[in-house]
Amino acid sequence: MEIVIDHLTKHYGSYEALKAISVRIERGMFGLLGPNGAGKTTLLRILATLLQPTSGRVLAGAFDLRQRAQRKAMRASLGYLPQELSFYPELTGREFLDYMGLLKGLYQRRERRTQIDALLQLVNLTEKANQKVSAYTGGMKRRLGLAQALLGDPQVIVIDEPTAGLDPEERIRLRTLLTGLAEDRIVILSTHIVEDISQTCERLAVLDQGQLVFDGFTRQLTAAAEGATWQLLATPDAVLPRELSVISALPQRHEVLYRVVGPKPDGPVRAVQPVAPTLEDGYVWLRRQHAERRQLVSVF
Amino acid sequence: MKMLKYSGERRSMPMREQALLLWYHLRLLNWWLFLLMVLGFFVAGLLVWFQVQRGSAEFMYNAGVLSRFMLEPGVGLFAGLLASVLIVGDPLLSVVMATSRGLYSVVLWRLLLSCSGLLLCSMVFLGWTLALGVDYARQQGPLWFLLGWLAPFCLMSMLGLLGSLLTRNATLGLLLAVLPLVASLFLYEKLSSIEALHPFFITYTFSGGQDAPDWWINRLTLLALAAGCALCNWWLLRREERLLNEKQ
Repeated sequence: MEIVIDHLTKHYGSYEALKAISVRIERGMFGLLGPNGAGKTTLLRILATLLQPTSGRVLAGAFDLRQRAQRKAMRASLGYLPQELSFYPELTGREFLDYMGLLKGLYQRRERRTQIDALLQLVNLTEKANQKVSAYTGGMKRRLGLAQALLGDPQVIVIDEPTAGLDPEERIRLRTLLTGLAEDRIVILSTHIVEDISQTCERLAVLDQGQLVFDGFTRQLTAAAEGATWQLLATPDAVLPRELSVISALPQRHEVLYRVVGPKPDGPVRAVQPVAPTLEDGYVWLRRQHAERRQLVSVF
Repeated sequence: MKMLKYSGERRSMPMREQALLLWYHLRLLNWWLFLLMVLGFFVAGLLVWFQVQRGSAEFMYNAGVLSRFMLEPGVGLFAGLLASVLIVGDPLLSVVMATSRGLYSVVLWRLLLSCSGLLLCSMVFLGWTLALGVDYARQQGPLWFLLGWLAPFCLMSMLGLLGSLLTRNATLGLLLAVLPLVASLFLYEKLSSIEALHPFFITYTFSGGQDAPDWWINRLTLLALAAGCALCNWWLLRREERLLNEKQ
């Protein structure tokens, strides 16, 4: 299966949440990156068949998501984990998955329960499966949510901010799990945590204010900041030039070690060295350039 | 990840899975609303018994008024209350929407359960009051009881659901639904002289119209209004994206 998004636009009244987005998503992990309010959740909800596009086309395999009947048919091949996920506190983890399995049309009890056991094991919740969800920690709830999304062996999994609120160990476990799942299906991962994308996705799209500003391989985005990523030392009270974006600032004994993105720094700095960029550097560089272009357009 | 494979049937749901799904829905409904309903009918049943035990015509009249109150505005209130929390406020709304059974199915199952609970309480209460000798109306009969119960139930449940779908808030939805019921209760005295308004009083039986010749028209009008609200609900549920928060 592949997903083709063609000139997709979504309006909420006069507010334009998505502006003529065109992307092709193939099997594997696909990252969706952007600041808050970029339109990521709107795009994911359209892919999850919850929202209807204002214009444009989304083809998920044979399904045209503009058509109501096809959106419904698509749901049998879809797993969705929203950003904000609450649960029914009355149910245990296992009962919750059983209930969701029934809603997803998994009517063969034995097969459904075998799959639930496998999923509980996959997300490392077997021991807590018979506890009420109200007793789960945030990380356990997130993993239970993921298990719910995987019920019914979906071919497309849409996940919104899956690592939000997780401790580092949980995040790593979840990322490993997602990478494994993406071997034979499409996993679309939306986040504003660049590290999650750099550790899991080969391809990504970047949204900013409803516009697609990048679509390609993660290595391409990383390479974009080549020759524009620097490490330098400055005194704590030094004011860095405005055209530099600070990625990190590590206090040393009398100075601060900065990692910055932008043109070669000058001014009150020393020991300036070019460094190999990371995906985060590339992302910041891209957003910076996009902001400058927008500023130019607004001037002219 | 082969262990995730599911190759079972997805089209028709066996009876025992339907029963299981019904059981889950029952657990997910607000149990305290059902408890409130059962308690309400129980206390009303006790009060009716108490009035009947006093024996005089005045107390029997009071028992009749209380019985009619429970089976009309009482049923209407509980129906509105239960319907307003059917789907709005569900913590997993967007996930439920994205399943193949979807929103309609969940709403219908839960409505069926709420309806059954209310019907059961009403039947027990009716049987109890009839056994105590309470007179509901001169023209009472099976059809009279059916319409007497069905009209407020249908209208108020559809209004409760409509209010909650429109406002995306269960409490506001209930308030919207209860307004016409309260208006009918308190404005009856003032407006009952206008005959053209009789078909629209939700509490016509309780307020004194139980023996009126236009009682039947009133019931049919209320059922027609309920059908109109049901159509609006169907339309709103088709536009399910309205139920999600915008601009996220």
